[in-house]
Amino acid sequence: MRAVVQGPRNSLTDVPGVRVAHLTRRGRDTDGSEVRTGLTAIFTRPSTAQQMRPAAAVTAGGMVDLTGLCVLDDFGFTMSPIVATSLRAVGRVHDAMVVRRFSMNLGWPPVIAGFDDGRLSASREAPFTEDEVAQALGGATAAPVEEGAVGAGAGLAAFGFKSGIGSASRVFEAGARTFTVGALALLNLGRPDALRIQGGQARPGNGREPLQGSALAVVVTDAPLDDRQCRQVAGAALTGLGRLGAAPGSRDALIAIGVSTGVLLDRSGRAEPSIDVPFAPATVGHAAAAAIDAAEEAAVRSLTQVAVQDAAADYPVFRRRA
Amino acid sequence: MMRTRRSFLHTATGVALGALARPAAAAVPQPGSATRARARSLGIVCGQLTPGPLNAITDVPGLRVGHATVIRGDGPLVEGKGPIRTGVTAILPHGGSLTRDAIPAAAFTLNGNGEMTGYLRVRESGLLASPIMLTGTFNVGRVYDLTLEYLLRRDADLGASHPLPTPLVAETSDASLNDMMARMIGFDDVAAALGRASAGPVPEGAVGGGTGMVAYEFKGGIGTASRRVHPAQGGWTVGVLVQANHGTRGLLRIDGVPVGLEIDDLRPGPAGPPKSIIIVVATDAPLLSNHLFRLAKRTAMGLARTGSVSAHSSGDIFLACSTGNRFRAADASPLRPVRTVPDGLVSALYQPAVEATEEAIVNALTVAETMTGKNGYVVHAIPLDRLRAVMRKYGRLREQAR
Repeated sequence: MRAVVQGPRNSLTDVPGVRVAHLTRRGRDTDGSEVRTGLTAIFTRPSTAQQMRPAAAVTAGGMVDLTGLCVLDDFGFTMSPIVATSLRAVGRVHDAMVVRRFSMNLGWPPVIAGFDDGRLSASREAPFTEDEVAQALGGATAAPVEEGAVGAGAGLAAFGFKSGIGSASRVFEAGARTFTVGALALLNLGRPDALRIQGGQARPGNGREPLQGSALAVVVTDAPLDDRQCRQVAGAALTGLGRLGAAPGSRDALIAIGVSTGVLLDRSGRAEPSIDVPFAPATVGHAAAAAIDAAEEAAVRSLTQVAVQDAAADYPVFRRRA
Repeated sequence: MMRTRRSFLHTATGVALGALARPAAAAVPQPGSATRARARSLGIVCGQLTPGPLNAITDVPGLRVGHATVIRGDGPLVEGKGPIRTGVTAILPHGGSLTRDAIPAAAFTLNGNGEMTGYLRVRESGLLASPIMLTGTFNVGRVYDLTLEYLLRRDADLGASHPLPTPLVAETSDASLNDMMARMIGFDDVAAALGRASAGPVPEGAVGGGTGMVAYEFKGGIGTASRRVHPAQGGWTVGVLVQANHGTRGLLRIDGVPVGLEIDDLRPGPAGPPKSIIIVVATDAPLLSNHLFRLAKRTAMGLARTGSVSAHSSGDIFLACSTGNRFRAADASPLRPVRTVPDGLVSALYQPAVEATEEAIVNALTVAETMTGKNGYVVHAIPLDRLRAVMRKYGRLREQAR
C-alpha cells in the first residue's frame, strides 16, 4: 500500500458529494459594536433524499455547545448538515434550520457547534436572520473550501493569532480501492506559548484566549464506515488537533465529528442492500491515520490561510518562517 | 382496603371482562367540565415514601419553576398562524445567579431521538450553569435565542469578561395539537417563564412547555412530585418534574394497575409513533456529577413503571442536578472544597427518584384537561371517575387518602 497522500485539491470537498457553505458577517451592529462572525455548514448527503450518514462525535472538555448530540450519540447517524457558528447565533441558526427542515430537507435535529467569537466580535445581537441562514445553506458548493477568516472562522482566534477555517484531504488505498478523507478545522483556543507546528515551537502570538475556547475538526470519508468506525476516525482527528497543542480544559473544548459518505442509511435505520461491507478494523486504521494528518493540516491552515488584512488588534496572522 | 399482592395479580386476569362491562355513557367528558386533581388527592399513591410538603420539585430548597402558556385560535391549521397550543417552562435550578453560579449536574439519554441543548457542557463539566427550559420541538432555537437574550440583558459582562451561558433547552413534540411551524414563543413568554418562576406549588398539566403534549394517548404535559429521603440517610429531598409526551395507551400502568387496558377508549386520532419525555430530577443532597448521572438513570425506572418502553421515535432525555454545592461558574481557583455524601448513600436517593418520577407522570395525566387543537384534534383527559374505579377494582385505591 502506498503512503497516504494529499487529495487532488487538498480540501474537504475532495470527498465526492460533500458541499460547504459559508456566511460571513463583518461590520457594525446597531449599537456600533464590531461584528466579526459567521456560519459554516458542511453537507454530507444529497439534498434530494431522506437519508442519513453514519456519524459520531468525540468530545473532550469545554463550555461550548453542540446541538444534536443525543441523536449522534445514541443512533450513530446524522441527517443534518454539520454547522459551525457563533455561540450567540446557535439559537437563531437552530430556529432557521428547523423551520426550513422540510423545504430544504435539512433533517432533524440540527447539528450546530457554537464558537465563542466574543474576543473579536463585540456585538451582543444575534447576527443573522432566518432568511440569511437559509440563503447561505442553499448556496453550499462542492468547490474547494474557502479558507481563512470566513464563515464561522470570521471571529476566531487561536494561540494568540487570528485564526479561521482550514481544510485538507488525504487519499489512501485499501482493498484495491482508493478512498478520500477530507477535513475541515476551526481553531479558537490556546495560549500563545502552546502552539506547536510539526513538533517545533512556533513564534508566539500575543492575543488573549477566548473565554470559552474550542476547536472543531470535521472529518468526512467516502470509505464505508459504520458509526463506531466514524468514532475512531473522529478520535484520530482529535489527536491531529493535539499535534498543534490544542488541549481540552474546564473552559476549552476539543470536538471532532466523523462522517462516512460511503454508507447511506434510510430513515428506518436499515442499511441499503447495496452498501459496502464496513471495513475490517485493520483498514479503519488507514482511514484514522489519514484523518490525523488531514485534521492536523486543516488546523495548521486555519492559521496560515488567514489573509493579512484579516488580522485584528493583538491578533496577528500566523506565518511560518521561511 | 389493601389487597395482598397475590389477590392483586389474580384480579388482573379480569381485565378483558372489566373493559367489556364498562358503561358506554361515561365515554365522552366535555372539555373543562371535569374537576382535575393530583394523583394523591384521588387516592392514587405511587410507592411507599413520603412526599415533601408541596409534593413538587420546588420542595428542593432554592428551586423555582415558571410557565408561559400560549393558546391561540381554533379550527383548521393555517401553517405559521395557528392554532397554537404551546409554551415554555423554566426551571431555575438554584437560588443563586442564573449565569454566574453553577451546580453539579449530569444528563442521561435513554433514547436519543430528541434535543437537549447544553448537553455537551453538562457532560464535560459536570456542572449546570443555565436555567432549564422545556418547550415544543420547533421552539428550541427560538427559546435558546431568547433565553440567551434575556440573560444578556441582565448581565452586561456575559460574553465580555464572563463566559456566555449555553442555554439548556429540552423539547418534546407538540405536533398533534399545535401549529409547530409558527414557533409562537416570544421574548415576553420566555421572560415571563423565567421572571415569574416561583418556589411554590407548580401548575401541572397543559401548561408551559407541556401545553400541547400527549401522554399514553391522553392529555399529558407537566407533572411533578417529590420524596423525602429517610432522616437516618440524610433527610434530603428529591424532586422530579416531567414534560410527558410519551407512551402507548395499552401499556399505561399506574401503581402497577394496567389502566391502559381498562380504559382503552377516549383515544385521539391517529397517534403516530410514540413520542418523548423529558425528566428533570433535583435534590439538595450534595451529590457530584457522577452520582447524579447514576440518579438520572434511575428515573428511567420510574418511567418504566408507567409503561413506557422508550421507543426508537422517543427523545427520552433526563437531567439530574444537585443544589448541595454551588460554585462560581468562572471560578479559576486551583482547588475548591466540595461537600458530598459517601458513595453508598447515593442509593438512598434511588427509590425516591423512581417513585417521584412515576407520580410526576401520573400527575401530568390526572391534572391535564381535555384539549382541542389544530384541525379540531381532540386529546382527552384521563377520566378521573373511571380511573378511580379501575384503581379500586385492583385494590390500589386509597379511599382514606382523598
